[in-house]
Amino acid sequence: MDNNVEELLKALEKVNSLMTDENIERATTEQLLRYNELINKIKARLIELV
Amino acid sequence: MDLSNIVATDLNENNIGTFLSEFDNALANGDYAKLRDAIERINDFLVAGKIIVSSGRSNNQPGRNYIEVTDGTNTEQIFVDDIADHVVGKVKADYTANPGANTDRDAVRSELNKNLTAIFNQNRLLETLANRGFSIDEFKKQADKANDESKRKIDNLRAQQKKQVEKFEDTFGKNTTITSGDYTTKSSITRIKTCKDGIAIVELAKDRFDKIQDLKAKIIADPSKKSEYEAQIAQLQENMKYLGKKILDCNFPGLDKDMIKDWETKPAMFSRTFSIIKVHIATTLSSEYENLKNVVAGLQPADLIELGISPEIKSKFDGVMDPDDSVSAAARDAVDKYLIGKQRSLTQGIDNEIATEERLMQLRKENVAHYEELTKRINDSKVRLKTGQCIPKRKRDTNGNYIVVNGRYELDIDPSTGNPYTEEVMDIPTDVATRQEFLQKARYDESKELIAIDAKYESRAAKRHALEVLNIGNRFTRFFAPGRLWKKYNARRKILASREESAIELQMRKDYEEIVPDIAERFKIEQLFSRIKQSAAIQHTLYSAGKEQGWDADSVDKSKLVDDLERAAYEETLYRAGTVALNEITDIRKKKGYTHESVVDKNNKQVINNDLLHEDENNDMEL
Repeated sequence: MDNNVEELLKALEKVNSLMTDENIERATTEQLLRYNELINKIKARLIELV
Repeated sequence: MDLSNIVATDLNENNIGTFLSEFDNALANGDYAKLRDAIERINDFLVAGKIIVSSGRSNNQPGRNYIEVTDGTNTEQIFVDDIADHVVGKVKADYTANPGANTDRDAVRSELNKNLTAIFNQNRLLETLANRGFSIDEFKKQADKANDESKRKIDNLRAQQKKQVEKFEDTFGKNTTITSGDYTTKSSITRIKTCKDGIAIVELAKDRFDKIQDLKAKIIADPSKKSEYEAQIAQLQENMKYLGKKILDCNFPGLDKDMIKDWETKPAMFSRTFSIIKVHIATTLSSEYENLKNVVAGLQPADLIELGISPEIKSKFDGVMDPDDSVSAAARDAVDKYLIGKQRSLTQGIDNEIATEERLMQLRKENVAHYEELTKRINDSKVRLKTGQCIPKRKRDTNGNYIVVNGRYELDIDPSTGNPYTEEVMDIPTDVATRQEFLQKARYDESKELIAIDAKYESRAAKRHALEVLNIGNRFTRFFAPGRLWKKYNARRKILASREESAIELQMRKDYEEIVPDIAERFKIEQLFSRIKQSAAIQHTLYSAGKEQGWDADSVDKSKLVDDLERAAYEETLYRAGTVALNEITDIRKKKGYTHESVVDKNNKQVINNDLLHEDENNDMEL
């Protein structure tokens, strides 16, 4: 696998690991809803690749 | 900025640009270790409890999402969109730079797709929402609202695109063909491109023509190779005929097909045509650029801004007719780039934005479907609790007491679904009046219960078993003196009290089931399913026992039997299978001597045992 892409994917995974179980539990319902929408927005752009 | 040791401030609105350019530099230099460090640092802020999970819109740059990070003192906004876009951009660039099928690359794509939901932990997020009781209707409402916004955004983008395209075409012309097809207009950039195509074609023709002349000279020098050279000449001439047709397609004024006819064989004809085309193209180009220069010079400042013509680009338009050839050539190149780039961004750029927004709408729809399934599963699993302790939530008055109307609890209804909220613990009422009310409705008769208890626990063995369940005595006293313990600790009354509790609970449930038929239905299904499984297990045990005793093993397909019974629970035959299972359980109970009849009192009174609903409390079913 190309190093470039592989490294970037690893980086991407790490960026996205911000949504830890702990953070989710601690978030308010309103925050969860906003975050869900944010994830959808990022996915909408990422999905262009796949 | 040190990527290996970034701080939250490095990622705020003011510094994100620097961070991203540092990211680019590290990438260009192949410094992946640094990139990893940077990403890990970001992760540290988020994971080490310094993150406040919240997203919103920046006041300064609406439409960009950020996540708030705090170090305890200061709060910074991290622009995750920018980071995500950047990573994606780079991955895309890598694909562009290395086109073609590649298994590893496909694996990357598939991995990325697979990870999209997982890496965002979106399932967990949705589960948390569902577990908190956030209703599907409310969730759908939010998604619909967001999708309405997206629709508006798409409409705006289309309007904006239309306006920009019109402005661009009004200024620089557009390609059109009227319906009859005999009249066309072309934009400036199309006309320029046509001229440049013409130059390329005619230069190619010149190259072919010179080669033909060379080959003719070679034939004179070496007649022995005449046929070989002639074949090459023929091929080149064929090629020139084709180029002649292409140049005619450019529709240069003053150029007709007679001038191209047989030009490959006539040097004088070719030279003349060649110079006419060259001169014509140069003149046309000059006139095009002159025209562009004048058009842009005549634009108002507002038009320049609208068309994205910066002062730097404007100076290039000004320079297209510069007497210094190198200056004008560079200016013309820059103008071409602007026109082509602008044309592309007007269509492709906005189209991409629209496509992304449409994908987002689709994702939201999928999100709702997923959430619906999730909430249904979670609600089902609550109702399916084997202990049966999940019940509709009852309303309390201001003193915290349940509100009972006409002998029934008033339920706490979720306004968004119209169904009651659920609660997991069923409290049996303690006040005598309410208890009596339920017992009466259940037609609970204490004397009958006592008779049943006496019948059931007549033997020493039964007493021993019950004493053990009630945790009375120890294994020695229970074995040697069950009767004495029975009396001393009033076990009969204890069992009676337990039956009273069960009767009240059962009646309460019946009441709920009357009010909430859906829950009653699900509860019934669960009961039946439980019995079917139990029956399957019994059949399995019987089969094993039979096999040990030398029965004809082949006559029973064990796995099929168990499978069929289990599957039945999921299919339309559930009720039928449930009935069969109930009959089987009853049969087995009969064989074991624990029948309804066995607890009918001697005076032929009504059957009062509700053993079927007290599933196997004394392990009667144990084979």
